[in-house]
Amino acid sequence: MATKSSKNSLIIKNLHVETEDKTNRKSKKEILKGVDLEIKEGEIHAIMGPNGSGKSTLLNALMGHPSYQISEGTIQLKTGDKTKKLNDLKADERANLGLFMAFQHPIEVPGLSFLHMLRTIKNLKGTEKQSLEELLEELQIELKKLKIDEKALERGINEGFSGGEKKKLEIFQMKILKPNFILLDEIDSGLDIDSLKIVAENIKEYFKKYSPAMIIITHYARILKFIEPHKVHILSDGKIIKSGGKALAHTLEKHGYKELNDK
Amino acid sequence: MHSKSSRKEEKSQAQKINTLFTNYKYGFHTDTKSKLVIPKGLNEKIVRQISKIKEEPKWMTDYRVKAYKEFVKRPMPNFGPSLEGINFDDIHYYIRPQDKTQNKWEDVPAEIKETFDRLGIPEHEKRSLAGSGAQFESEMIYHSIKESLSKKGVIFDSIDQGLKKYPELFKEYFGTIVPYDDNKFSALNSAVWSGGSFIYIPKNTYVDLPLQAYFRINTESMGQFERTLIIADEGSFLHYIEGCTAPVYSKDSLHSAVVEIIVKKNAHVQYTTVQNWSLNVYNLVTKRAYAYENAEMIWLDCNVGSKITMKYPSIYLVGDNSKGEIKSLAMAKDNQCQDTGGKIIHMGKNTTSKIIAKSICKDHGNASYRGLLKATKSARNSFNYSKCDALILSPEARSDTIPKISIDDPTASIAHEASIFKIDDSQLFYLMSRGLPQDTAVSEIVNGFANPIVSELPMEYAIELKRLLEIETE
Amino acid sequence: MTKNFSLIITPEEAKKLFLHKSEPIIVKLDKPDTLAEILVMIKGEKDQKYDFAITVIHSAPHTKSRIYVRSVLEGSSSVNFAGTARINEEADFSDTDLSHHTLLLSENSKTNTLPAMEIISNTAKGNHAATIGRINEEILFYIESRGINELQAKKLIAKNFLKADISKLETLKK
Repeated sequence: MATKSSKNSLIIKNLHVETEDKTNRKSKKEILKGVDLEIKEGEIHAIMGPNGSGKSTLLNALMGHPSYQISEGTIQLKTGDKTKKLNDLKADERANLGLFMAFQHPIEVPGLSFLHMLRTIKNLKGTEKQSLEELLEELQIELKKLKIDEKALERGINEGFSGGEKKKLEIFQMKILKPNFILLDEIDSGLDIDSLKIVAENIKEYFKKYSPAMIIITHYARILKFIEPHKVHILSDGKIIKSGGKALAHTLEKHGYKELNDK
Repeated sequence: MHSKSSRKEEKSQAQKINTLFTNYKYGFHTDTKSKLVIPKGLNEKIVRQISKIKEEPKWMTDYRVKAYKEFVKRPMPNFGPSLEGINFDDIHYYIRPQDKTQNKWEDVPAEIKETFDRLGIPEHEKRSLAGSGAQFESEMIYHSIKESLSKKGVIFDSIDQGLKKYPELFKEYFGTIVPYDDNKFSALNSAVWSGGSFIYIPKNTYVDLPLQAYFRINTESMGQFERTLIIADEGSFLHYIEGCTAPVYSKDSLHSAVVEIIVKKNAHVQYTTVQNWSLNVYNLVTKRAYAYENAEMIWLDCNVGSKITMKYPSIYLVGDNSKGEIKSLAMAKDNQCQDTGGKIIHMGKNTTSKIIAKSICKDHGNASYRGLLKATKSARNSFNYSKCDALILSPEARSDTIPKISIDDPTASIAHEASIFKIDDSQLFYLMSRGLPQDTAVSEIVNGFANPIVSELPMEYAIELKRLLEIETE
Repeated sequence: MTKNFSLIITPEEAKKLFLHKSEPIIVKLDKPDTLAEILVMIKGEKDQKYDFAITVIHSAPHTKSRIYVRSVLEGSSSVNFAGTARINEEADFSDTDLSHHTLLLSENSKTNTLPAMEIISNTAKGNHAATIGRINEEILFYIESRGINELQAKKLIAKNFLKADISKLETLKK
């Protein structure tokens, strides 16, 4: 699915996203108030910002979560000289175009095993004819790299796993599905230092091989020490207030968000 | 792991058995007797006629008549779905197997034919499930199994034959677990029963091949008023399977079966049912087992078809240290009603029970759990865990959970929990974000929900049932 | 019912209300965004027979109900409880929780419980639970090992058991 041939990109223009207001269900709350961003294949963009700034909302809206509605603006996928608008596409359609999201709190789906889900997806794609043995081999290799027990394949999706293990399993799925546009929502939260290293290594390995476009959302600069971003953006109150290189992440670490807002 | 290659292996094995018997002609001759016509409706005369045709001993004829009188006397049940739609006078209560007119394939409803196609059922089987065309293969397999079993002393016969060939054994147990006056429909069955299995497993005998009702002569194995009697003697082991995942088309709109099981000391019986009657059928069943000292009884009950099913498999834990399990799956789609569940009665000491029930309903379907958990005054250290979950897929669907718990054992330890589930938007989104289209994602979630029960079925059934659930949730 | 509804029935009140066959308590949640909570604590003694029923009907969206019943049975007392939580079609996104936990302290008690749910909504959330059992031997031993005699220990455990759902009540927190 992922190719190195042309420079594909994910283009976000003037994106306004709203969701149901939890305190007053009849009204909507605007969370993203005009976001502009372009991420090309082979680029890693980090998005940081205080709680409530809209970071997760951005990724969820990109992936097509039904709770978030785009009230203005566009999300586009540029492949070669073709541009495809994603606004009205469902999540599975976006996934089939090469999008992948590693969730902050991966949900449990009891009774449905990873093996079965991955097999179903591969069968639906129909691009590569893989026997069960070949698939199992591929899965086992990736599980090993992430230091996840093979038995995870048989269990219900995310059922009974710790927070850190769930995050690893998100990256595991990414390596199997081979997306071009990767959205990582706080992949580092809940990981101890050893797991963080393993996850980062695997992400780097994938990046090296396939050069996808990647957005990493993080609170802490910790993961950015392992995965160096090309660009860093700061999202605050639904808008990108500052963009810069990786040095911006260090500045944030030193001085915090408040200082930036004051400037 | 259900790989394509192992499924191929099974298919070729089945083919091998078939080719072994293609040269065997099972006495297929036309009946020269004139066709017997028993009119519709029920009265004492018809009951006696049925008994006469079967050439039964007097005690059975008397039993049938007594049961018929009870049936007339008893009012309809005062709980559950309405059975007003049953017109008792518009039913044939007995048709000789050889008189059963074969349905024309053309007359079989389209939705039945379509489901057969989707399930990949071979042509000849399709026709027999639709009640048209002859069924050879299952009979052949049945006869060969019978022969190998009889060497061990195992009896696996039709119930009519059971009465004829083993009268003392039959009389000792028949009607002892489900007496004719237990309820209105056990009374009906006791009056007009015909077809079913009679099984006896001798002491310490382990039957490693699951016995299937399907093996027996087809027309009888899907009777309206089946009666099954299973006696598992001390230390024996049996797994019996009734029904199949394929939809079974029945012109008869009333099915009222009775199953009686005696699990003696140290014996183990599992009775698995997969019910997929066509949507015109009222399926009212009484199933009960008595478990004696150290015995174990498991009901694995899957209900997917019929218009209305009322069925509550029961286990009486009579003997000390006996164990009972009820695993139930019910799926109700448009205008279907699965009123199912189970009953467990703790009587002995140190008895243990477990109930796991999963219901799924969609459109205007109603899938409800109705259960009774009882511990008598003489019971001691009764232990139970019950979990009843319902998945509601549409706004008009309905699911009730009515678990009656009545505990007179002061040393009991009982835990019951029930939850209602819906398709979680976040789960759906998660699966879709991995590339699964919406309806596939819904099917997968439904299968995941049903998995604790489906995974207990023998492999072939599990695979087919999963496919069936996928089709049913579209 | 426009506001939230909360009802706590103490063991003394339960004696007055439920010892004779009583009228079922019926709560109707017919205004959206409302909550009904009922907590019943029963201390069964001698040959008391408690017999009561509680029904909650959700007929408006985003309604919540919590029914918590706890019974501690001594002597030859018995409890017969029928609880029903019903969520109608129009009660979208409603949520119900019904539980009945019984602690058996004698050789002669009887428990009859029927925690029923009737749900006609595919956006509803519903849970119910019923447990019946004796005092956990480990807990009893632990408390006794702290110097409390068996009688006192049982009293302590029983009291604790009866009050266990109080902290769940949202209406009390406000």
